[in-house]
Amino acid sequence: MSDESIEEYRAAARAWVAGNLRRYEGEDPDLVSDPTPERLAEARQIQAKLHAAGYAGFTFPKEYGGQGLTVEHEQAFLQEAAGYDVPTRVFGVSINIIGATIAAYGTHEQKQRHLPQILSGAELWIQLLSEPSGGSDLAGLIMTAVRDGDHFVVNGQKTWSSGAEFADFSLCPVRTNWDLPKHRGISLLMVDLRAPGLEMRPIRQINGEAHFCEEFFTGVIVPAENMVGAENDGWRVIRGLLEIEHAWSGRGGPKRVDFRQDVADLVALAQARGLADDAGVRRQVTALHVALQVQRLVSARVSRGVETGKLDPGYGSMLKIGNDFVAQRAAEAALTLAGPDGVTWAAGDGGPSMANPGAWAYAYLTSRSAPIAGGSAEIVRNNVSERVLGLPREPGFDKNLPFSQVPHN
Amino acid sequence: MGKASTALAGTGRTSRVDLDLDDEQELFRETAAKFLADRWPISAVRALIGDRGGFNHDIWKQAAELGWTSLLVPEDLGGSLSGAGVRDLAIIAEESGQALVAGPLLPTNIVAFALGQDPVSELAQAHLPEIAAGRELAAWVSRPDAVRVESSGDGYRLTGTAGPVQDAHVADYLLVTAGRTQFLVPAGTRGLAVELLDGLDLSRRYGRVRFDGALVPAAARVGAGGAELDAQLGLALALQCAETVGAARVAYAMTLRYVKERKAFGRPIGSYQALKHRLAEMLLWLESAQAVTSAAVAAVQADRDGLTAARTAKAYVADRLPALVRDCLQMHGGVGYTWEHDLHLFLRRVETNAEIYGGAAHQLGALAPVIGF
Repeated sequence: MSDESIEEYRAAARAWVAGNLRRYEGEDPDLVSDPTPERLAEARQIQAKLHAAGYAGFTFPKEYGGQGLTVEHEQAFLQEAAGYDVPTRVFGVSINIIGATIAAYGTHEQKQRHLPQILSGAELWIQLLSEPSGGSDLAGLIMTAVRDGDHFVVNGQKTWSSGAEFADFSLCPVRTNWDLPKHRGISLLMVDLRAPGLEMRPIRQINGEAHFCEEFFTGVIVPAENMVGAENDGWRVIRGLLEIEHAWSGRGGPKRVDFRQDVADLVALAQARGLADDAGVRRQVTALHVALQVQRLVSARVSRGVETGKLDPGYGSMLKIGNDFVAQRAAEAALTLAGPDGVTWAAGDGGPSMANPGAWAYAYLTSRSAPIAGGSAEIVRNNVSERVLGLPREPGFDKNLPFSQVPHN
Repeated sequence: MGKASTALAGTGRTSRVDLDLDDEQELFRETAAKFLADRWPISAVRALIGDRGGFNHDIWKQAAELGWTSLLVPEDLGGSLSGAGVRDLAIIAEESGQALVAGPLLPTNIVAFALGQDPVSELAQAHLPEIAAGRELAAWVSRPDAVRVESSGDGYRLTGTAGPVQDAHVADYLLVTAGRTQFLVPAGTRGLAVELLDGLDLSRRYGRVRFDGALVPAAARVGAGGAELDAQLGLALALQCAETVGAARVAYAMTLRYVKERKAFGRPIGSYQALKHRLAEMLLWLESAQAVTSAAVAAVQADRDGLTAARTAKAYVADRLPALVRDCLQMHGGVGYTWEHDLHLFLRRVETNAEIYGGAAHQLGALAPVIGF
């Protein structure tokens, strides 16, 4: 695709965006961490409008409701749509991870049935990967599906799913054979989240919020035609899904809720506490400013490098190491700069750069999740060292044994 | 050890400071890399350890022929000033860091930059052609607080002791920054003495320059002490960061190769998470150092608050890259602590660069006002 046609595309997109989308003031409505049912309905309407106008599923085949275009077209559109209300975060995983996985591994019927619905926002999908018995060790999953004629009966538990209460469907790996080794007894099912026997409960987090759910499956019936890939060959598809996720993160991934402290807030806080002349405090806060600048620069470098093929897509997950680092250090700095007022407060308290009482403590607690969520710090480092650096894996003792003989939680 | 491959294993690609080199720049880089591989192997670095001069004039001449000293010199003065001289020079600095090149590449180009601010001046006309041709070597006395200037007759009198000054002992001319004024002073000036220093970096020499009321004529004054002084420091920091990145990258590549080959308890030590997790983090540091250095080079090139961008780069590079190379040494175990292993040569360069022209703490202090302190 030549530059010229991208530029023409961009110009057309700009005109369409200006005439059809709403420019937001202040905070991006797409970045609200838990959308209300009203906001979700609105997001679905916007997504449907985008899809109808040809601005959804840019790289998906036309046959299944996509546009048959390139990543460059998608980037051009997103750049033109910056500052407008587009629900790219709400539908981010649904389209870019699950939709892309179904497009790559689904049958013709599965693609026909779901892809146009996913791209238009009519169906919102989530992935149900983590289980209480293991999050990082994904292939050690124990949720069990037993085949019974033309359907499976599924029992077990999933956890840490975000947005499950708003979603319609899920992509859900299950164990279909316990006599085969760990990776060879897994199948991948498309599960209707409103199926009987499926119960959801919110999980309360250390910061007091309940953003995630856990799901209890008790005899949930899933039609056999909902299996993506072959029976017991689900791990291959999950690996593909993870590749797709990596590549997406490498291209910039989802918009994120940015809970990093603003450096300007930290400076104001230091000044309010009479610490602005303390050389150690100045260095600490300035070093955070440098770290944030560097993280911004390395992120831009990696997305460009991956896009142009000069860097391995695995570099995308390397960025998480730095994002987690700055998020945690900034939140810790705020808490300690605030001193006793950071850890104790009364309802009426507030003050310089502290919007509401307890804000520093809340940000601090929330920052603890950074290196756990979306791939733990340890798993990210394994992935980077194995994928990018080519270092060997640690030997596993569970690889070739029948899974029924492998110790698990 | 011969040439250290700096390609990251598993990718076959090398990630460099500037990911967006055009074909011409890539050719320029390859030519420099070939020249250094041929003329400046690590055995050449070792051969000069303990040598008082620490520098090979023949190779310097050849480097000048390749254009390494003319990138910031206007064409009519024998240079090859392109629209991207700083970017081109950063490529050379990075390659030089990989090879631990000795010689006043950075100072000579800083002096060329300072003189080039006023290319019609007598000083520029007299010296830039010589610098571009590699016939004159220059050093930069970069401690503005250490040298006192007084008017004296038609000229000035300089007093004070400033150092370390890279390659002061081989320089024909010294650019002296004193407060916000600068002078170009011949090395043989009466009342100016250079004392050769011993130092951590075995592949480069530094001197201490003493001015005992040295008299310099008014015509030796360089520039008017304006914003170009900030640009000059920004240039020095950006080029130094590129060089440091080059050196750190070799140490990192050596370590990656070592942990894949070295076995302990029946498997490569690079399979242990205790090491591979640190190596993953170090990759982020290296990539981050490249990203922030690249931004600094671009800002200096565009003359867009280059000093702030370069201080930001130096604050990061001087903090993380010494930490990176220290851990490279640790991962090599006993063999990394031997004189025969090359790793310490790179450690020495990276640690020294971190302090020269101001370390991380100094840069953070200078950046504090930028964020409102």
